[in-house]
Amino acid sequence: MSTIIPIGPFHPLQDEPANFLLTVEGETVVDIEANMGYIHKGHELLGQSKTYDQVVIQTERICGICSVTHTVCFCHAVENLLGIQIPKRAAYIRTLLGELERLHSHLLWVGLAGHFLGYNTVFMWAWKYREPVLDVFEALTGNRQNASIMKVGGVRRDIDEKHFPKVMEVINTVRGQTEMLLGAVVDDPVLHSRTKNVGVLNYEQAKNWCVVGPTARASGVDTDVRRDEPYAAYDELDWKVIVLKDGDVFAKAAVRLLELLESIKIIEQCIKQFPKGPILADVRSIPVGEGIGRYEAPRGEDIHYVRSNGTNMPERWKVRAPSYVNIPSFHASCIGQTISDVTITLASCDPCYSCTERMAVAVDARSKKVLYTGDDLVRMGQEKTRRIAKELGRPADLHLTLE
Amino acid sequence: MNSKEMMFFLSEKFPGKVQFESASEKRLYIRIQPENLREIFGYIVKEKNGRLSTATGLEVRDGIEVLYHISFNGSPLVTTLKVMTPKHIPELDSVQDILKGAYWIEREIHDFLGVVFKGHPKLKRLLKARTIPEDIYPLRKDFNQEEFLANKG
Amino acid sequence: MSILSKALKKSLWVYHVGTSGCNNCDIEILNCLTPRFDVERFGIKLVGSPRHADVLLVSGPVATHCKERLEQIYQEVAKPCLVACIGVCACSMGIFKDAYSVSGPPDKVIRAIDPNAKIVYIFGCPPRPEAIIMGVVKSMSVINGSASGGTGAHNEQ
Repeated sequence: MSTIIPIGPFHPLQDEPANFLLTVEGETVVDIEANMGYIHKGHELLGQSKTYDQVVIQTERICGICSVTHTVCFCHAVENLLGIQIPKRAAYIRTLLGELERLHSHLLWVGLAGHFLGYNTVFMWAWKYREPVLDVFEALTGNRQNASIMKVGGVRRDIDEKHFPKVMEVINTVRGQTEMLLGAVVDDPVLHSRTKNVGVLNYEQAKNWCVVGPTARASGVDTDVRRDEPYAAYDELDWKVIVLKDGDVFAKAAVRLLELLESIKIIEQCIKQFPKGPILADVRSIPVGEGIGRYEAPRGEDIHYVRSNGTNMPERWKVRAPSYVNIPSFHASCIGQTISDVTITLASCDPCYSCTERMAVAVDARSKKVLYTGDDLVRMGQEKTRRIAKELGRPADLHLTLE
Repeated sequence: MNSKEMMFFLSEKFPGKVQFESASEKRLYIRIQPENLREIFGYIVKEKNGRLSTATGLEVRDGIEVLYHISFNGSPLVTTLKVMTPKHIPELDSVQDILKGAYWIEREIHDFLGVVFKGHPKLKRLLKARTIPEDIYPLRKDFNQEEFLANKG
Repeated sequence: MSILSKALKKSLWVYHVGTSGCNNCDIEILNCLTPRFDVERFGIKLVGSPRHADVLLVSGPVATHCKERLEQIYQEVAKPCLVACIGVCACSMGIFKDAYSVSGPPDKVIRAIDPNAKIVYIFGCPPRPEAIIMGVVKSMSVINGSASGGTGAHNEQ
């Protein structure tokens, strides 16, 4: 007998209309269907009545966590249309802010993953570690998020190098904290049991569903826009792409934690070799043409397409955020999972909330009675962790120690 | 893989069926006919290991144009296949059975432009709000936003 | 912290409704819980059901899809309650003013059901966690009658 369960919210403290319907037989998921649209605000249509500079400001508000991502990607698309290069200093500023964004985004994910598994200490600590990174953003650009600093051709405002010692201090602290988290996670048998072989997306499925970012790299697909189509300053810096093979939740978590360490390496190099010079190329008007811009967001490849008709407003602007291709892969990774593993599987591809949407209650297919709410499903995941911890004689929360 | 190599492969495999509109080092735009879409798309993604990044739909004077943006892991190239379909019967063959990455984007283009992808198993609304009627396509040029908002109340 | 001692005669329970925002405001609200800002030390608690809430934190311009949901939640909240519109989008729709699939800022949706709703506006894109906490606490103190109204920041330390 199949039951349909629309599944609960990602955001630990909200519940909102459904967007995933799980068909369940017993405890196993046999099918998943998505109903989206609750966050749809019509960015693309809105952008057609805005000038290019206004669109840059609008792109920041596509998603709060990816605000540097979307602005730079749009600028890439228009710069591709124009066929111009941006000045070196602007390239380094974009790299620095992009990697700082990757740091705080991955730390946010680590906190949420901890919450879904029932490790609330991890949630609190990861979000506490994020705060100094947001302070650094504020010191460099004036706002914790939504820097409003990008412009087609470079950046609008310069950043002051007097903040660089503070940046170095913060990233060194984050490095120590990440290594501590890695150490706590890598050998914990309860975590292994909750995340290894859970939510597996194998190589063939990853290619078929065209996933990107850490979701793809955890399944053995070697793709990273920073290396494939180097933009900003990435071709002058030394760093590596992290690729693992297992495709399970553990691999996705490991890819993100190791990427945090690579991001820290990139930021250090940026700061050591920060060039002087102009920050904005001269852009007067946008001629008729089309351009495609790509960017490696914390969640994967972001791509913008722009077509210009020679006026000061884009004729067509298309945005495809990375979560848009990662989420459909649930059709492959959620099938065969038990209900208590579903929340961590869904969270493991790090869906950006604005690129995905909220979820809701579980109803029985025949009687239409509420079976499980979203909170229930989160709670079931957390209870499974506690059960396993008890069986293995381990503490129910991860013990984290700071040196 | 760069544009020149891709142009060579495609001219050899599909003589007369591909029209190269513009090519730079990292971007290649190719116009093809709807009846050759599945064949050419299948070749690029399966034999040349392409990944469908996304597809853009837009209304132009001659009809509704759908652009398939295909990237290649490990290379900077993005190849765009441009297909035109007439406004009064906007239909294209679905490619979601060749590559599942097209599953959602075809639904989205159907939502906002009304293109019917023949063979798609579930062409129902993805992003359009339930309150917007089926035959209103917001990205079409005849979508009158003021009238729509006034009638919505 | 005199305004806090006046305002907080009891714990404030807040319920967060995210109506299709970009999530920046939602994350700043969650940041209030985390150790740096730690609202729980003031007795402010995020609850899981609108029925238990004293304050409704609404973020995002209300997308058409979400309008019914917001109305439903407002009906469920025990009155008297305060509605705090967090962020520019919730206060005035912000850049989504001309978007076709947005049903108007939350205050318009709520006043259509309850013209006497008590609404407070906390601006910012996103507003800082300190601003959110201060906005909620100040407005509760105005409602409790223990401070004069208006935006006079000079009234408290």
